[in-house]
Amino acid sequence: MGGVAGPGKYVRMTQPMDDLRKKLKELLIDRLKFEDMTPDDIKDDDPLFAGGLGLDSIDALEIVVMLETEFGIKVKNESAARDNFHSISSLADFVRHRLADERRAQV
Amino acid sequence: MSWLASLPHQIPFRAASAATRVDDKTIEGVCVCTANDLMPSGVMAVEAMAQLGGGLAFADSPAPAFLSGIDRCEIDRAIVTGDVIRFVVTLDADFGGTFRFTGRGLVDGVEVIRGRFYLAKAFHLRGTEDTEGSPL
Repeated sequence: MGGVAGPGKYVRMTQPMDDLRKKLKELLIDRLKFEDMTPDDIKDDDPLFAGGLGLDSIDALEIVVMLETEFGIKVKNESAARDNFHSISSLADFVRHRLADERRAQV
Repeated sequence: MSWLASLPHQIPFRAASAATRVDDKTIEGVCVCTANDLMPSGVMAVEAMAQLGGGLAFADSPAPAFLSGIDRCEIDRAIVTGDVIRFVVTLDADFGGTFRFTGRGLVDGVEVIRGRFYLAKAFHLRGTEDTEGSPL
């Protein structure tokens, strides 16, 4: 018997970047313990650090750990963090590019 | 001189009595709880894990650093005078001068305490605006 598509089953196919941004928001909320926040509370272009969510160096470390455990992405130098950890949008771009680089390297 | 003796924490606040570095990411140590401890034994046990983490991160290249976070710390039973706690502390991750460790301590082979600790290199201790080396 054929399966019935559940809610959101095709989101990944049609809106991969939106899906990735939402996943990153959920991961941040979970890992950084923003207990009263939902993904909708974080705007894609809100600054993550000073002036925005107010993350600090411990949170930066947790993001690095999160990227490695959830996506297999290793952030080896601090300049990569400076350049890509500004907002959810820049973080999603970074993840997408790194995953694409890895796929190309495997071909 | 062992690195323990070079820690800024000495009597009465050197909580780790002995330590053996197993590898780059693991250190084992001992905390002996005595009636002369400056703080309650549970506090000294937490401090011991942080000091062992410091030994792991900075034994080869000493640098000013401070305990910047404690997370998920649990103590299963009262830690009392006479307990000899054997710790295993592992380095989970480090980035931009911030280090995360996981530690657990056993008394007579039974785990009684565990926690996650953060140490940070002291980029700003002198109260200047100099952020050289700071990650973000």
